[in-house]
Amino acid sequence: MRSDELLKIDDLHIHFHTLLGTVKAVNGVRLKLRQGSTLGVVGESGSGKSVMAMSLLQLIPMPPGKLVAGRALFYGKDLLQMTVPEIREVRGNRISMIFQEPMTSLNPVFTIGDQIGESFRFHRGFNKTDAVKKSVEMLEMVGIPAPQKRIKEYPHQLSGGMRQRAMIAMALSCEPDILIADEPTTALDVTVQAQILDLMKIFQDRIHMGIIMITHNLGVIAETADDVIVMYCGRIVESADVDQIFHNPLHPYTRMLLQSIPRLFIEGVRGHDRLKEIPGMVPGLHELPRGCDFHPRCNQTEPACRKHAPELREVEPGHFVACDLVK
Amino acid sequence: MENNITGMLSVPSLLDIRDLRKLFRLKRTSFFRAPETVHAVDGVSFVMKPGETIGLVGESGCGKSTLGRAILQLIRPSSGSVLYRGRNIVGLDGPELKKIRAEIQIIFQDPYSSLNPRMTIEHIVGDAVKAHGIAKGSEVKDRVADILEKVGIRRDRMAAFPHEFSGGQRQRIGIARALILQPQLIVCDEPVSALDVSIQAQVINLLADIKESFGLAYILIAHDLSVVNHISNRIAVMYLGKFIELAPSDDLVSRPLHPYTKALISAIPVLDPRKRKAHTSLRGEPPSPIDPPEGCRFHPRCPEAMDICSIKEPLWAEVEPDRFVMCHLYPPCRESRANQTSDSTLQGVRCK
Repeated sequence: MRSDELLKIDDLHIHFHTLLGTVKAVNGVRLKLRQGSTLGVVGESGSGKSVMAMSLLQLIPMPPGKLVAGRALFYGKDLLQMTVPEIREVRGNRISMIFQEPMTSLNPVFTIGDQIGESFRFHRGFNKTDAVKKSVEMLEMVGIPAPQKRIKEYPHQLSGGMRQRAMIAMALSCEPDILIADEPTTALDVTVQAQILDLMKIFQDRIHMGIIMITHNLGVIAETADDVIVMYCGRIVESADVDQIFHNPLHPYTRMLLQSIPRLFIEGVRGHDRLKEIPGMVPGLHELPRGCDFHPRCNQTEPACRKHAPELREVEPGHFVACDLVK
Repeated sequence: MENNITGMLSVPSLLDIRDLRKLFRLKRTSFFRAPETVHAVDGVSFVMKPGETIGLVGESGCGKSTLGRAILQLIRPSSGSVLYRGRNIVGLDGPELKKIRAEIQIIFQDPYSSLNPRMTIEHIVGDAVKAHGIAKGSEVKDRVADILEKVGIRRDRMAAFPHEFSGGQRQRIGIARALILQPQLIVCDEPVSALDVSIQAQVINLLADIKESFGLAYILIAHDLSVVNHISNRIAVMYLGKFIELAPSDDLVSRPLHPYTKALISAIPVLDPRKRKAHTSLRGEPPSPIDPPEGCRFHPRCPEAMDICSIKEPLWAEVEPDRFVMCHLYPPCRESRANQTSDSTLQGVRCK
């Protein structure tokens, strides 16, 4: 393992046993995250991105989930095999997570101050007074005005943007090595999104944090990611650095996704023609198609695609694709 | 006075909104203070032609959804008028309003809560046809089947319930429901923001297709400017209950005038990692519509604010042909009256 490698996930498989059958939520994922860099995880509903992220902090209840195979090495230790006290030591301290809907991820019956202070009290052994002081500092750092007043407020008294900042304050209070951000700006206005992304970058530069940025918003990926993995039906279909993903996408899903997004006129790329849509829908994970998961919707599919599920292969240096049609 | 005269001389409008306002009174928080008022829609005026698409963008709390609903009379406006085909529909009740309702429809944002979970989609889509007396019996079923096919839902699924469909399909059902009465205008309130990226394209294409084939006008309310730019003819930018800019779609996006519009566009991530840019930072949060700032509402956050901006509210004026702005930075080539008038009055007088 390289010295600046924070996280290494090997062949992760997570299934859920449901009444409809076995749902293969994560179906063979491997990735690496380096210090100070941002890994973008692109995926839509059912891609497995959130399950993968939550499994790293053992947030997936098992049962009904089941870790079928795989390891997630964090400084040489497998997160997925840690005991409860060990993973608690990691959560909110070494690895933090922020979620999409700040209203539902913040506890509505505790003040912002209590929730941010909890990290300091639990992980750093601060007493109540010091925890409050540090919490005010954190709120200031994330750009919330009048922090002494806000400390005593409840989540419902804050706007969406402020709640997300409060979540970031909570997540960053112990200066973690890794921040996992699951759709952090999807529920926010675009101007607030820009502020939040800038804020995350500032912290990243300051403490050399690794970020896993999970989102279906390709614009956010273009702006923030260094490396990207594209997930579909629980698998990685393409993995490369961000420049390659946008300028040389190889997997049909990645290409079709990029072509289907409406772009502002100023980019001078197109007029107002019909968008090139991806037909059909993401299949249910309990009834994946035979062969390649994407073939029913693919515009380049060939008969062989129905029979053989492609492996993720390195087709150019650092550029991995799971498609039999790419040489 | 000049409004009415020149209004009659110009091309008939589909919708003529005049100084529309909607206030919400909040409950008293203290015995000693008067109850506060939310100025959700604070004097909006514009004109729409048949078949036109106007996009409406703005941050949360700017009043765009309230405006959409106030136009449809789903919310009763506090003052102002909504002239549909020359007739003011504000204050209409009962059978008169019902007739209008068939012609102006709405598509909602959340495909999960906007369909009644206890009704089959045949009923969700077809009941309005019966209610308006347009058809009866088996003919209703035929019309439903027809319209479902037009939006890409197979007719053999008519007896199914909403939960049996995906988000994208439910949105299509919502569109079918709006379409079946053959409206002239549809208010689309965030029609794609709750959908996955790959499904958004399908629904955007569908909206563009039916606009062509049914000759529809849209008021498209969305926070995603790229989506709005893609299918709108003109775009209006809203801030704290007022329009602050209105211009043809591509013009607005390629050459925004109002500093807020500029900041909005600058905040949109570009789909190219080689073109990463610094964002024009807007200080602070969108202010509360309860207590808007003095002068220009945007001045506390404006990177180009001048002294006059904190004192006097700018006029809504046409500053270039077809481009309206509310900002002291731009001298009007022709001022409209103090209460924002409809732009149909400006028809005969060209901007130099």
